[in-house]
Amino acid sequence: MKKLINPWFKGPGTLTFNLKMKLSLLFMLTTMFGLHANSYSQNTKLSLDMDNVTLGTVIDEIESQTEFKFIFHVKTVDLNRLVSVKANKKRVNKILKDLFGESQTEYEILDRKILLRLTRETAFLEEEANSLNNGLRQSEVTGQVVDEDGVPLGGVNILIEGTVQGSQSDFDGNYSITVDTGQILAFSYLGMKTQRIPVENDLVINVTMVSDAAGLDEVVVVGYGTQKRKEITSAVVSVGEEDFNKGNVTDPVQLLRGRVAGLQVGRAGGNPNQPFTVRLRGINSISGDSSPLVVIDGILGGALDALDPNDIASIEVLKDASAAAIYGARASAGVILVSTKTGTRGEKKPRLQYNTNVSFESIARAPEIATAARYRELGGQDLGSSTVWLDEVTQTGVSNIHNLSYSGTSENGLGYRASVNYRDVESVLSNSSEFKQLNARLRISQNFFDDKLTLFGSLATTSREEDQGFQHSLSQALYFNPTAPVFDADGSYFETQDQDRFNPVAINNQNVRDRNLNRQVMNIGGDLRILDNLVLSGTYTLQRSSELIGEYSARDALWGGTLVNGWARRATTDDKYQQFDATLAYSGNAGKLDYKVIVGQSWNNQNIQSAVVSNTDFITDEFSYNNMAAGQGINRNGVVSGESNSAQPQNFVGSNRQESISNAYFVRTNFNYNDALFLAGTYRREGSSRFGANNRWGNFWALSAGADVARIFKLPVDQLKLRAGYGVTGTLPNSFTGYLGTLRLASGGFANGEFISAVTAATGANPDLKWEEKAELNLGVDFALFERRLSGSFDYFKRNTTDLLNVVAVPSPPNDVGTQLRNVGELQTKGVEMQLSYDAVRKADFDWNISGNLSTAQTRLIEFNAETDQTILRSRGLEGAVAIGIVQPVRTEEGQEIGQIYAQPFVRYDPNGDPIVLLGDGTEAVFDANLFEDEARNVADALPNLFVGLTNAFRYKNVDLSIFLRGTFGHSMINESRAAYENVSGIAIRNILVTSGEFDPTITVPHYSSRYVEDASFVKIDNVSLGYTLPKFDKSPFQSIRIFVTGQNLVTFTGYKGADPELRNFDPASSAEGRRINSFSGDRLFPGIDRYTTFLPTRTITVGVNVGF
Amino acid sequence: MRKIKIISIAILGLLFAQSCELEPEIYSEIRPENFFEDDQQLVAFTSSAYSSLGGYFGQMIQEQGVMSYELSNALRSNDGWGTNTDLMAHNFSANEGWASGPWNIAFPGVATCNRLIEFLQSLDTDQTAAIAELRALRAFYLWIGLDHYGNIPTELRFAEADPTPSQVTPAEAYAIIEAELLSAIPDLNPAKDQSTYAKINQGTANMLLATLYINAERYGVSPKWAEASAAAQNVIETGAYSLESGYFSNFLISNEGSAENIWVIPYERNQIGNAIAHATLHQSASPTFGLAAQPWGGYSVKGDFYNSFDTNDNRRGMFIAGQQYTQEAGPLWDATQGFIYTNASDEFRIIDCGEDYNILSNVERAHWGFVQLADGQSAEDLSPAELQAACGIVIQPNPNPIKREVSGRAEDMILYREGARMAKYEHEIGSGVGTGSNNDIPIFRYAETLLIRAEALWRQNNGSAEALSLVNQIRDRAGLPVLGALTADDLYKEYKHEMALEGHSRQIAIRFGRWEDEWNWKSTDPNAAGDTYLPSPNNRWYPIPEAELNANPNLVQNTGF
Repeated sequence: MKKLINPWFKGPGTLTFNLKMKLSLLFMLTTMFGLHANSYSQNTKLSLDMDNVTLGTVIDEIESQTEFKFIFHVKTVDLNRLVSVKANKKRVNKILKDLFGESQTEYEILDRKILLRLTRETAFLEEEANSLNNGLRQSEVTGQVVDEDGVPLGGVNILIEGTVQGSQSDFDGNYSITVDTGQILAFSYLGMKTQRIPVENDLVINVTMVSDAAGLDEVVVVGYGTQKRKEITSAVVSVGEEDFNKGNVTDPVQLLRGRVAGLQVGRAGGNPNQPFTVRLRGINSISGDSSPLVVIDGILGGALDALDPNDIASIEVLKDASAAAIYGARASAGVILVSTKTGTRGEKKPRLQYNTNVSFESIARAPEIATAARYRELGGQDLGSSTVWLDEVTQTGVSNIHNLSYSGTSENGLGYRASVNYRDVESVLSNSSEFKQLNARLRISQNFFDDKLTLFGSLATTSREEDQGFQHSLSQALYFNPTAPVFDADGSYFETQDQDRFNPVAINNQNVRDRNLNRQVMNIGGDLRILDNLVLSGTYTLQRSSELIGEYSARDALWGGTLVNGWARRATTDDKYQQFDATLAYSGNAGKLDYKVIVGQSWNNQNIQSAVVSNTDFITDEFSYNNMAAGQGINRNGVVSGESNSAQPQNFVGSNRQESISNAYFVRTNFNYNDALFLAGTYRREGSSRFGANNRWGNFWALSAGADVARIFKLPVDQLKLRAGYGVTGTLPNSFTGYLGTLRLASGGFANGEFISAVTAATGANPDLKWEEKAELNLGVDFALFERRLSGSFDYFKRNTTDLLNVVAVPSPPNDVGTQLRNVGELQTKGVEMQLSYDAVRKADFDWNISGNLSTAQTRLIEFNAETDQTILRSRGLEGAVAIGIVQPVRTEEGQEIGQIYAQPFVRYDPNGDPIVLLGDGTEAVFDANLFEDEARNVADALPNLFVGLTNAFRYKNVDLSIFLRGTFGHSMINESRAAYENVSGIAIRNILVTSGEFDPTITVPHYSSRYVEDASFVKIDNVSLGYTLPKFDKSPFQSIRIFVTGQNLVTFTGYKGADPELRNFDPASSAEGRRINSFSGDRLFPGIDRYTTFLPTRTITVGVNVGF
Repeated sequence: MRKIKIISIAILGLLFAQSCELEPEIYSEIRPENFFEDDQQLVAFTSSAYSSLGGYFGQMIQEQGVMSYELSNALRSNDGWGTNTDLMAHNFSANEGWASGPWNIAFPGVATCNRLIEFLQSLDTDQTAAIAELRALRAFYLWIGLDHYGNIPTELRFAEADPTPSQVTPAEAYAIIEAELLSAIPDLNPAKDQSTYAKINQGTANMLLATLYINAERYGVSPKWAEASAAAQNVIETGAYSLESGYFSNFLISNEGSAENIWVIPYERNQIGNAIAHATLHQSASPTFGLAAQPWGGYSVKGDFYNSFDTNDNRRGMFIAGQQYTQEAGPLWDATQGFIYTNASDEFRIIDCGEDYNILSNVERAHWGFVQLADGQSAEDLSPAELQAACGIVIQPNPNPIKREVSGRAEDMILYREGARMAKYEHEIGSGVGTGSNNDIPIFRYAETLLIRAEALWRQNNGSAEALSLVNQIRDRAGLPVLGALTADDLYKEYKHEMALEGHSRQIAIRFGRWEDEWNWKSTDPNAAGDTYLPSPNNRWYPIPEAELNANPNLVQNTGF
């Protein structure tokens, strides 16, 4: 193609867009304008000087000079006709006119093809040309559409998939449509199941539409197999590609945020490297992993971050124990089953799909802090400048995503799909908190022996490079002195030297923390159909993840380098996970009873190795973390015996390796009586090396049943199915060797006048460690009414987790170590969930669907530890001001819900500006942090009462629009920033909060009371997506083009005064300034504290295009 | 079909041939069955019994220094430290970290010794001396428990231990400790040499016995003055110990050769560090000592205690006060005088406005008599004289606190530069000195042996000439005039000064009945600095830590908590 001169691209400096934005815009534009680059014949000129030669010679000459190809039947064109042609840089049509003007032949130019034909043979030749052009033949397909009883159906929509070309059946059910071979016709009709039929050689395609009662024949993945939706007796929600959240999705769990009742996908703030917290039906565990088990194409514990959202076909969420019991261990928090896309059978034509988008992310809301002028006015220490620190460290984050996939099947039974994905994600923080990720994925399958044997395999690789940086620069930017300059007169970063204050720009620029993640997943297996109804399957999976971290604080970086003259750290982890599964599945029937039985074994082995080294005292910053030997710290000061996050970086050398093995046998049976009564039973026996020999094996089981009352009693509704299930699942301890009495090195060994390696018993070994168990009851109803216009489900659940794995204090004496991992305590979670979908309008040109979900989950600590008297657990103290540092504001107490917020009721400020609060006995007193423990009362709950998601989806002709609202109600939050900084105390050394309507300059004392416990209920316009599918251009190579724009986190309605009312699912580990860690996880027993160091919330606008070839 | 059968059999075979072995490889931990193959590994195991001493310094010297007459840890003008006035005013409660401190030294130590003793007893070889050492060490840990908590569990078994042992009375605990020591002493190594350095030998055990006896009365048993003097005499009679001529020789970075230190905790920056330099030194002390990290400057000496030293007492060199200088002023340690500058001159004065002056409000500046600043001014706008007054780092040993109602801060606050700093243990001077000091910290020192013998004799006969002579030995070395007669006050003062900052202050004050005295930050006057103090004899014991009460339902809290 001729080089495209893009008028938008004038070189660096002419546009304010950065290079990445430019390139992605350019790419999109060229993709779109490429449609019209059909102008070869217009631009090509040629010169000929031939006298009295045959027509054939002229045609040869034109073909040799140009890219034109002549297409004709030899019988219809007289190639021996003698002609003369004289042309000097003439367009081809001019020459053709001269050649054929008066002949029996007429011509037509189709891009680079020139059709020659006799006038009356037009249709035939066009067809030939088309087939030469595309390798395909275009034909008119006709047929009749009837329903299950053979009655003709009029008004059936017939669409060529991937295009907007379509037709409708007439009153007699007849239709006709012009279509290319290999394209797929989609027949859709209200209340009927959509049928997709590939066009091959048949020119007549008759279709029988079958009724689609609540999509009941839809196949749902349930773990080690599939089930029809109508047969499901447990709480399973299936989310297809079309219902995924759109926009700038950096982690596949975002696809589900707010879409599944009972599934909370949470993250406060917009740090793209911070994982989302996933909670299904509340909190199930204290120290075990409380996130649902992720299973990707059968791989237990698959890594979601290694998967590109574009590669996901559907996600099933197994919510209750009866659904999850087949996975036994690790399934206590539910299961998220991810199925990736593969080549579609019957689709002979390869599909090439390209998706790209560019996102612009900005801070959605920030705390109100004093400007430099206001700060001076309020008595702050004037350092002579005016700096808007937030502007200095933030930017519009521009992210860019490309996904190219290629899939198909061959006639000899090969199915394949390959995809490559690249994402370059920036956050709102400049020079920090960003990542680049490349994923490649290949799935193939091949059938043998008349489809009796299928072998399949997949290969996925991920390379991710994170610049994690230090999000602390955001909170420092809020509270650093606004009159401080960025740089000193000598060009170095200005630092105040005040305790816990760091120049925010310097934090970002002088300190690096990079994390590289490489992941390979290899999978190979086969299904063997021994008999028609007996299938043997086996798969082997290897998932290998390696992580390499590099950190460096420059020699002049007050944040982490000055004290030790530069600090570097390298840490690497290699995690090898192998899994082998074998199953034997049998299905049969006896009269109206269908049944399925599957037995199997699943074995896995995890082997984790790591090494870490850190060093200090570097002569130059040039090496960063790339030359650990260049530091003198290890030589001068030796190494410490244990790595810590203390403010002063240390020298450390360490390595570790550990292994965990588990093996399980399982059986599941399903019964279906006349599509009306359903029964399922599961048993799994699983053993794990994380327990001592006597407690290794756990038994997990489930029973569930369902009855379609509508079918049994012939009710006038499409479906009314009642479900009940009960099951038991287990949880593994995080520690691989918690049961094993091993020895470890201890500090302080000394003998004969010198230090030696002392050896002592390892921490708190507990030989009696056993499985944590969760038992769950689930009752549910599925219903569909009015020809399935209204459908939904309702579930009630109650789950009890017993033998909670928890590190608890043990008496000393007699123990030499004060804590031990034990099975103590009990949690109970109860809740209801509802999911509804209503088709408000179903017309040929216009659809409107309203769908929503709501859920509740209340988790109660029934018992913490039966062996001791401890009944109350307390959060760590508040940060930011000494006066409130010892206040532990959130408690979890036996018999109560998780996350009770304690405070003393606020009364007023006295004339001195001292906060007056109520004591326990109702009298008033000046706030005193020392009295808090005894005088505070429970003033609010930290966990919400209700979660709601609501989607309105519209389609008008080629335009689609969806508006998604998400709400969380009934949770309160402690606004730590306000408690610590919304007063003039400490204004001498840092900025303060001046929240409108709340700030009072006479208040001089930081304090904590009910004043800073705020209702954080909110409703968000969380996602709005507008798309347009372009009409198909004739002869264009593009099958489909869709352009879209999506806005995320657009508007928040809340009374909360902090930056982000989003639920804090956990309390992060101490983020005391000067520490070198980002706290991405923490204590789930103490939710509801809005720490002042939290990343700010962001808003994202995404524009993108999806192109199918 | 035949092919399919073959494949099925192959797959089924694979299914059942898989290993069902659930025994993982242990890579990074030691399995006991693979250890103890040689003596070196045995020593590595038994030496872990001393690990619990790592926390001794922080608990006994710092925390208890703060709750006694010695140290202060007030809120400072940069909002540092603070929330310690409770501790200083003896408003004790059971759920605070310091309450667990001695417990976490004592009982993990006891349990480790229990485990090791049972292990050594199970060996075929003769382990008599090693077992005696562990029993004496266990007696020391039990004594730490007894001295702080009074009513303690005394479980001496490991494998067959009661999982939730109950407490015994202080007198019962006393009896167990005494019996254990008396039984262990004959089998202990009497030598004072490299093999017993930082280990318990006969001298150490006798010193522990003397300490137990001299304090016997407060454990609810009849006074043991004669036993105390005898035990001290046993130490004296070994002839292995003597007073160093320079008081500070015992506290040098390289104090391994001290003839006076009986039992020390060996500290070495990279093994176990005591952070005394950083905990006490002023923020601006980095240029004085060439420290890699800026000191934290929390712990300082109470003004009353500083002032109780006679001006000509050599031991006053254990404090840093006055104008501070850079390293060029040649700070050095002298075995007799302690800390001095050899070349103090104006050019080496340390000036730093950032740390105190600039961050004060004008109300606060007025309180300390500093020049006030107008809006937009900083310390750079001051005249040279004003700058010197406001920003010269001159450590005032007598803090002038500003009340919280005036400053608006969380607690009564002192200037960063107030309060003399600890310098009894030599601070290393160099370039890039790391956190953690290398001085070995004495638990028992011969000077105390002499004082205990003197006190025990004096308690039996207040005209004892030997007692007077022993005290005068101590005074003579300190450069003080000898006394003609001994009073309780003389003895108390001599103990306080000689044993200052060595972690004995609480024990001494309680034994002399002075624990309820008023001193800085501990006053019954509601207008004095700090929280108001309500004297209570209950505070002679620590509360049983709340975490321990939670973990062991058979424990009963001490009276008054």
